[in-house]
Amino acid sequence: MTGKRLVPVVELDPGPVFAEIGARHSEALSRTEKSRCLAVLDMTVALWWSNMKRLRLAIDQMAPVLGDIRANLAEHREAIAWAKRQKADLLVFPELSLTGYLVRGMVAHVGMARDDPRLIRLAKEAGELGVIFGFVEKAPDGQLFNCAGYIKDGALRAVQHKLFLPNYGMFDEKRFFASGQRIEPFDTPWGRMGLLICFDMLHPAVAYLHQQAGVCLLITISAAPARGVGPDGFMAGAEGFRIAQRANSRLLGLVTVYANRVGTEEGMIYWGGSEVLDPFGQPLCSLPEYDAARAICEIDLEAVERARTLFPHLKEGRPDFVLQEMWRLRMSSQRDAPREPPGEV
Amino acid sequence: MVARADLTLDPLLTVGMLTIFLCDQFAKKGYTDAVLGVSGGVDSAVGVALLVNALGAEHVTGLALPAEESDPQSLVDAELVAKTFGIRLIVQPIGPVIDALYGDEADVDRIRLGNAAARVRMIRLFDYSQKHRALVVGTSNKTELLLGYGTWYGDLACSLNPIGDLYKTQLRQIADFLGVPQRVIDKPPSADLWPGQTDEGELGLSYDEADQLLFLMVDRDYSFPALVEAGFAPDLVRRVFALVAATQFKRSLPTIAKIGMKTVGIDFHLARDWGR
Repeated sequence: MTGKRLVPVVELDPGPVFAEIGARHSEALSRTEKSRCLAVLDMTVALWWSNMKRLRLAIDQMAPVLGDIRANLAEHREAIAWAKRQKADLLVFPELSLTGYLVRGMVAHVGMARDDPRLIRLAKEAGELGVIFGFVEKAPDGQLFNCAGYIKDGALRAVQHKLFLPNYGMFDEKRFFASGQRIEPFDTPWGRMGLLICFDMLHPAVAYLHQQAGVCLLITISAAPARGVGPDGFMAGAEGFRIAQRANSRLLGLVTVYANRVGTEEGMIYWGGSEVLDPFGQPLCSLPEYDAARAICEIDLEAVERARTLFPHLKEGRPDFVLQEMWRLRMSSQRDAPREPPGEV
Repeated sequence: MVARADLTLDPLLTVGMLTIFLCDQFAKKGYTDAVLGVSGGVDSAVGVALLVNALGAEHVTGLALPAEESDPQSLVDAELVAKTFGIRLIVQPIGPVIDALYGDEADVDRIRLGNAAARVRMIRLFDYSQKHRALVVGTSNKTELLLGYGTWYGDLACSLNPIGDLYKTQLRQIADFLGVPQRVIDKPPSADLWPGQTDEGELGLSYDEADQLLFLMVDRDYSFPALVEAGFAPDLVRRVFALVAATQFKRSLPTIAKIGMKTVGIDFHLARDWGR
C-alpha cells in the first residue's frame, strides 16, 4: 500500500482474502497478475478502512415545486444519479423537498405513508447511496407530520418528525402539522446520526439530546426564508441558524450539516447558504446563498473523537444533573414566585 | 427625536434578492414580459430598473398615463427613466376617459378625480397585460401601503410588487444603487393628482419621520409608551396608528361572511404558487 495510510478501525490482513481468490482461480497466476491483484485488494482494503472513518457527503440545495410530488421526485432521481457519479455516500435534500414548504391547506393531499410505493421506488433507485429528504408523513392515525426521511439499501430506514413547529410571524405550521414527540437517532455505516428539521435547530436542547444519545453527525434539513435585511450583508433570518450550527458543532463536538432550500414561494425568498461544519465549528463546505447548487464534501469523522478529547463537553454533559434540574424547575414553576436578588429585599 | 432606527439596507443584497424574486415569480407564472405605470417618480423608476435587471429591457414596457392635471415635468421624467434603462414607453393620456366618465358633472372633488384617474390607469395596464401577455407590476412602497396612501383597485392593483416591503427611505438607497437619475430621486414625492400636490404635504409628515415611526411600530412592535419614549409626539403616534388601522381593508380581500366550512379569505389556505 502506498501513500498515506489511514488508521484501520479493525485490523484486516489481506493475505487470507488473497489466498481465497487464488484458490477460486485454480490456474496459476503470473507474477504480474498476482501483484496487480494484490494492488487492487490493497486499494479495496484501504477504501474499506477509510470508509469507516470518512463520509463523502453530497448536498442538493434545490427549489422544490410546490405541491408537485412528481416533478420533485424527478429532481430527486436526477440528483441521486449525480451523487452516485460523484461516488458520494450520502445525499441530503432540504426540508419538504418532495412537496415544497407552503403546503398549507393542501397538506393532506401531499401526505405519504411510510410504505408509499413512490418512496419505496426512490429507495430502490438510491440503492447503496444514503439519502435524506423532506416529506409529509400521513401517519396511520391520520396525523400529518413535517418529516425528514432516511433511505438506504432499498428501504426507508428512519423518519424524524419535526419537533418544534414555528407558529409566529410568517409561519403557521401548527395549523397544518402535528408536532413530533421524540428524537429518533439511528445508526448508519458512518456512525450514529440525528435529523433536525429547520426550527428544531434553534432550540438548543434538541442538539444536546442528540449528543447525549450518541450522535456524531447531526443533519438539519431546512426551508428558511430570508428576512430582516440590514446593512453590510446582514440578514437576520440567516444569523440564528449560523450561530446555532456553529454552537452545536463547537460545543457538542458534532459534525453538523445544514441543508437549506432556495427559490421563492409567494413573496418568501429562501436563502440557501447550506453548510457543513467540522466538530470544531469550522466550515468544511459552504454553498452559495440564494442560488441552486450542489456540492460534495469530504468529512473526516475521526475529528469527532479528536474534538471530544480536546473539548470534553460530552464527558461533562451531566444528563442526570440536567434531568434533576429540569424536573425541579418543572415542579416548582407553579409554586415559586420569582426570588428577590440577595441583598435587595 | 431621541432614538433613530437604522433603516440602512445592503443595496447589493436587496437588489439580488429582488432580482431572484422577479425571475422566479415570472417563471412560475409563465410570463416573460412585464408592464408597469411609469410616472416619472422614484418608485416606478426603481420598478423599471429591477425589471430590466431581471427580465431584460426588451421584456419591459412602461405606460405613461398622464391626466390633464398632471405636471408636464412628470412626463419628461418618465421619458428620462425609460431612456436611462432602455425600455419602451407608451404615452396614453387619460384625460378623455375621465371627461367621458364625468361628462358635464360640475362638482367632482379631487378625491373622486384622483381615484378615477388611478382606476383608469389600472384598466389601461390590465388591458395591455391581456393584449400582450405581460404581468402588471405594482410599485407601491411599504410606507404607502401601511398608510393606505393609494387607491384600492387603482394603483394598488397588480400581480406582484417587488418594492412593497421597502420603506420610502430604503427605496431611495436602492434607487441610487440602481442608477436612477438623481433628478428623479431628489424631487418631492407626489401622486401627481393635482398641481402642487406632494405626498408629504398631504400626509402632514415627512417620509423620514413616517418611516422611523412605522418601522418601530410595525417591524419592531413598539408599544404606544415606547414610541412616545422614543421621541414621537403622542398625537402623531395616535394619528398614524389610526391611519394604518383604518386602511387595513386596502391590504386585504373584501370581508366575506362565513357560512360554510372553508371560506375564501378566512380559512381557505391555498398558496398562489401551488403546483408551480
